[in-house]
Parts: sequence; C-alpha cells; structure tokens
Amino acid sequence: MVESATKVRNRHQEIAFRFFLEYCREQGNNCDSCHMDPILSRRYRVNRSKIIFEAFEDETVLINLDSGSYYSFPGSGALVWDLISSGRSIGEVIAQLQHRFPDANAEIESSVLDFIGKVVEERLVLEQDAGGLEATGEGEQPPLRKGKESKFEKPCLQKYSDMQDLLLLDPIHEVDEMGWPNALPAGRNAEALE
Amino acid sequence: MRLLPSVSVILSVKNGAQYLEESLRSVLAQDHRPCEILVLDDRSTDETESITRPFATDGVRFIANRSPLGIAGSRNAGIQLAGGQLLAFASHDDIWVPHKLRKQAERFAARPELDYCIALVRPFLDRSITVPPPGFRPELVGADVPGYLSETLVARPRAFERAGYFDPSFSQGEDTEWFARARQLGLEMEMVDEVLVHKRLHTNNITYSAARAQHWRREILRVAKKTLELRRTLE
Repeated sequence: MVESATKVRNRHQEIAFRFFLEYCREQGNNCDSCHMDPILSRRYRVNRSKIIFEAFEDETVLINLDSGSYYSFPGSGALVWDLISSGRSIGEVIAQLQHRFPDANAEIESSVLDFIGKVVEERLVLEQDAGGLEATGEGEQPPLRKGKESKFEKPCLQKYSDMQDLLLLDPIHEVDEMGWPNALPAGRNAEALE
Repeated sequence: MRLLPSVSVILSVKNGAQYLEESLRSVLAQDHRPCEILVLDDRSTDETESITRPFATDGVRFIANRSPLGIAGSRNAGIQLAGGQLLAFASHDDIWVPHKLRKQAERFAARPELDYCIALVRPFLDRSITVPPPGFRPELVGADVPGYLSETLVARPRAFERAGYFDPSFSQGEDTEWFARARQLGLEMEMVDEVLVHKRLHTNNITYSAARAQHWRREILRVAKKTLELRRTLE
C-alpha cells in the first residue's frame, strides 16, 4: 500500500518527498506497484565544474569551489558517494548497501534517498541524461570500499561554511618548481577538475 | 606619538634573483623600519646570495639553509631566529607599499589582543608578460583581493606558539592551512582594508598548469580535512 503523503513528508527531507510524489504520480497511485523504478534508476554525475573531493580513510571531503563551503561524508555517506559518483543508480546503491548491511534493509532505502536528496539539493551532483551512462560503464561494478562499519548508520551530509573566504581565494600562491621541490604527500583517490 | 612594536621581516627564497632586489628595496623603504630582515635561502643556485649580501649594511641578514627545507620549513626557521615583537613575511617577487608595516604595527599597538593581521593584496602583471598566466582569473588582475597569504601576514610570535608553525607537508597551501588552523583555534585576526602588497604575476610563478592546479586542489582538500579533524578535537 502506498504510504500516506503525511507519513512520507514526516519521514523524509523535502527532496526525498518529491521523489515519492513523482513515483506516485507516475504509478497513478497504483497500490499494487511496489517498485520505484523511475526514481531508483536515476544516475548522477559529479558537478565537476564546481566540486572537488577526496576520499580519506574515514570520510570523503568535498569542496564547492564556487561557494567555498566544504562537506564531510563520514561512514556510509562516503560509501553512497563512492557509488553515486561512479554512476551507480539509486537502486544499485540501495541494493549494495542492503547486501552489506542485511539487518538494516528497511532503514537503508529511506535514508539513502534522504541523503541523495540533500546531495542533489547542494548541487554536488547533476542528474545524468537517461542515455548517458557514467564513465565506469555498463557492467563495471567498482567494489564497495572496505570500511570499518559493522553496523549501518544513516548517511549524513555535514556542511561547513566557516572557511569560505579562504577556500574561495584564487590560488595566487607561488610555486616555482625549481625553487620548492618539496616531496608531494601521497594522495588517496583524489579527484580533480580536468 | 605611540611607540610601535619592532618588526622582524622573514623572506624565504629559492632562486629568486630576478625580482629579489626590487622586493628587498620595498621592504627597506618602509616608513616603520624593520628591526631586522632575515633572508632564508633554500639552497639557491642563482645569484640570490650575491644580490642579498650588499644589503647587509641595511640590516639584511643572509641565512643559508643547511639542508632543503621548502617554503614552509624556511619560514619556520625564520620564526625561530627572529627577535622582533612582530613577525612579517615577505616573498622575493612582491612589492610592499611604503606604509605596510606601519599600518599593521599600529593595529597591534592599538589592540593588545590582536594575534595576527593581514591586508588586501593586488595582483599585477610583471612587465615580462602582457596577459595573465593561463588559468589565472583575469578579473583579479588589478583587483583588491583579501590577502590570506603569508606575504600580507604580520603576527605576534605568540600566534605561532598557540597555533603552531607552518606545516611543511604543504607546498602550496601552507599559508591557507595555517590561516584555517589559526581561525579554528580562535586567534584574533584583523584585515587592514587597504592594499598593502602588490602581488607580481610572472612566468615563473604560480600554479596554472593543469598538474599544478590539480596539486593545489588536492592541497586545499587536505586543508579542509585537517580543519575537520581539528574541529573534532576541539569539540
């Protein structure tokens, strides 16, 4: 049975609620249908004109170069980001997490939708065109990162805006390769704008 | 007239012969004269030393790093050697306006609680180039930009005791990281709302190959990561 709109609204953030509304409209409020195919098939790509990110051991950190805000996705949020940013559909993300955390099946779908809704709202990702598969390609399944999490915790998006004036500064720093041959620190899965 | 605090100027350089003299002269032209100017040379192979030495009579001290320290390490060495009540940082290729140190020293004299002070910076094209380096935002040339850069920084020594020194694991973002750390730790800052440094853009500096831009972006992601970790330890 389709949940009442009130229950949905209470349980999800505004973006996730719109997902369900759209699903209901598309299904014609057909209570026999229990699949959210149109929403679950959505794929996204990183908004690379604005966003850079790096996966650290315990969290993924993102910076919006336009606004100077920075974000942390610890725990399962980093897992969801890994999958979404590599072109997995929402349904595939949910399925992978449910496989990893079988005791949290019921909680995973709603919390992942919630989280992705916030990611979309912050314009960290843009929706893929229907025909556009992400660079990882059809059939390629990047392995889910090995995390320390043994128990599912809801993915959360932590946003900070206390360094905007620092992060918005154009890099007018002096780097003379001849002058400063510092060894570079080892990077980890860094994503950079092309 | 209020007595202004003494200022040590720390100038870190490697192979800066091309513009070093002009930069040194702008430091020596300050109407609040520095009590000392320390040139920390990171094993230059050009004429950096021979350009610096004649300024010894003006209080410029040439110090050669015994081993390569990088930009952050050189500055840190200068901090440890400096004896002034305030520490200012210069680069080999920028120009200070003649009243820079006075303006900033006055702020410290007026505010005992002030830990560090920056100012606006104005990028300019060196005479050797007619267009900005590729990738540099052209609208910034000639604009007055908040100078979260070491070149505008004047700080009390206690600022480094409280916040720590520059992190030598950074090669481009070491000052951004320090400013972020100082902010998280609640140091008192003031920005003078006036251009006190003219930042030279020239063919040998900055970041604007794709590889360097990528390196810069990885560094600021590390800055964000360090900031998050510090925030959590302080909570």
